[in-house]
Amino acid sequence: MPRLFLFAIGGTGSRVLKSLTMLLAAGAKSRDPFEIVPIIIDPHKSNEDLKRTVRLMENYQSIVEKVGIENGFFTTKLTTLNNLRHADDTLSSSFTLGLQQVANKKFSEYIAYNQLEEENKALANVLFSGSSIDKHGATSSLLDIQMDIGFVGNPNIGSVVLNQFKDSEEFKTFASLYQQDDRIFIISSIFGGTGAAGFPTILKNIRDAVHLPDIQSRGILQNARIGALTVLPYFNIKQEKKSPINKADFIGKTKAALYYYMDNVNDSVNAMYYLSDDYNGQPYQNDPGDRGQKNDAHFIEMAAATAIIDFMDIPDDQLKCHGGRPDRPVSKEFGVRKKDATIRFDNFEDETEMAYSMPLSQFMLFNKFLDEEFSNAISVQTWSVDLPKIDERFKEGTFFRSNIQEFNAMFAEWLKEMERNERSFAPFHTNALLPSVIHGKSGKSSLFSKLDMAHFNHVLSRTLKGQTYASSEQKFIHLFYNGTRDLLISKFGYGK
Amino acid sequence: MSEIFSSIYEFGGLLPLYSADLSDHLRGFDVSCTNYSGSPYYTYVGFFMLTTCLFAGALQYYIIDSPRYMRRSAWWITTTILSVVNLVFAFVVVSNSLKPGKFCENLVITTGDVVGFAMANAICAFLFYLIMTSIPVFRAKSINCKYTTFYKP
Repeated sequence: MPRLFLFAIGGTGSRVLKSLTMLLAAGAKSRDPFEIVPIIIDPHKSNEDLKRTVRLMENYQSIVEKVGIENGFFTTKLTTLNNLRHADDTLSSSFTLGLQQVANKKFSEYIAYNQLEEENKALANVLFSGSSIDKHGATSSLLDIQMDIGFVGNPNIGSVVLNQFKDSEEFKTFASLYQQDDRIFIISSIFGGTGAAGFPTILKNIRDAVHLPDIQSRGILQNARIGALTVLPYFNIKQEKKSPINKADFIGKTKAALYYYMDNVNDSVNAMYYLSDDYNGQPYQNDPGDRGQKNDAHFIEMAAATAIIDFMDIPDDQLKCHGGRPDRPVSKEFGVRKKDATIRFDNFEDETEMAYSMPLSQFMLFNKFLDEEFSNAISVQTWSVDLPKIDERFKEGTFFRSNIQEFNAMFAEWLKEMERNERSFAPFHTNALLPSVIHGKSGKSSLFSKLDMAHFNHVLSRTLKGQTYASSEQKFIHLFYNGTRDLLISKFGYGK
Repeated sequence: MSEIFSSIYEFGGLLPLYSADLSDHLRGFDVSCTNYSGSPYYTYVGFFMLTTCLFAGALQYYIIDSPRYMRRSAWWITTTILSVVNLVFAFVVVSNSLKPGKFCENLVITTGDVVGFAMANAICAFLFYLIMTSIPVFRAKSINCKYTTFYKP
């Protein structure tokens, strides 16, 4: 199976990855299967968004390890570089790339400013002449900035620090594992520090890998199929005097970066995805990173995640490169039918609605059932009692309690966050009764078949007929995928 | 057939809830009190009991077959209705057959005997339904009530 090496840079990278994980869990997938290898690049290790994403993907991975990828939900394999290379040394077993020498270090210490010759010191003074505000709210020169909370909107610092990427064990491992059929995708934001700096740096290092010694696949990497997503400003942020993050800088930084991309990036990428939202919604907390940076999920991040699936669907012959340059580079955007303050499924264009409305609705129903009915149904309903059993023991087991419940709680939280964010994404009334749970699609009841949790149980038991399963875990995932699908088709008019 | 049903309703002769005279009448002892050429009420009532049991089973396990009615409480409600229907049916049928001139006048049959037989029919219906629904094969094709019996779920 070909692999997609997915570099997620900075806070936006982690949040897009979270949305992608949710979509993949719900059963959204590329036409041809890919194994996805996420690599998160973020110096800000205490970033809450990053930690949430890693935890989510670890749960996803545990679920797939237990049930495989043939059950409807969780149909794409997520893996780490460490898993792929089957070795037991230095690499982090998690999804993050370890950036060395960043924690608790000033930028001047990182570049060994004091040991530079006078000419180089002068050059450094020119290149990093600005000032910023440190995590204590005091004005600080760029050279003295602490990097443990990221590059707080300073891509000139980020591009220097992230250049160590090519020397990292992770890059060498990635480069040695990369094969002809594999693809690369890079997620970044353009208006901050880490993503804006990291994307061109990583792209350059991959295309120029041909010049690096000790890299097995360097020839292949030069002509690798690369897609990239860069997110333009999409959220509002509170104005705070003592913060280095300033909404007014977003547009300026974006313009500067876009000019740079136009000359140096766009024609090196096979498919470039640009996403933005000019909706001026409720502002986020102004947190440069020292308060953990935990932002609500946003619809744009979900739209961004669809770009990754779109890239995997591009046929190979449209992604050819020669001499490190794509033959037919394309740029893409994401559009909705109506730019309402609240996005629902009917705001999507047909193709997007067809691809994502059903899986997300299925997973929401799965979640709702687990919340409201699962405890009543186990050891009672046929689908639960039929072998292999889904009983109290299953409910108390690690798979359900740690993996499924935690994953589903994060899914519910993700939906809630997108709903309360502005622009809002609110396709579901999750607390409503079953017939009204999907906005714009009312579930139909009839005289003999009322749409309620009892009917849901009936559909699950009906789905089970004639099926055999290797384990309770596999049965659980497969059953709920098919059951929710059946329910949406028979009662909500999906697929017509 | 009457002999089979008589032994069922009298629980093999161990626990008859009614008199031997009523038993003779139900076997078909004729108006002239000479032989058993009269109406075989055992057979009528017995077949009604079997038919209603099968119908109740089909209704609960295959026609309604709903997660709402798959708990043992639903089984007990079904069985209670089934038993009452059989009790009433047996009482009405036998009472109507005991009008003067319609049965052998030598037989001494009281209302208590008729009630006893009606109760025996209700008990038999209950037991037959219990046995029938305890056999997994009978429930195997039910979607929601595959595991429903008198004691679970």
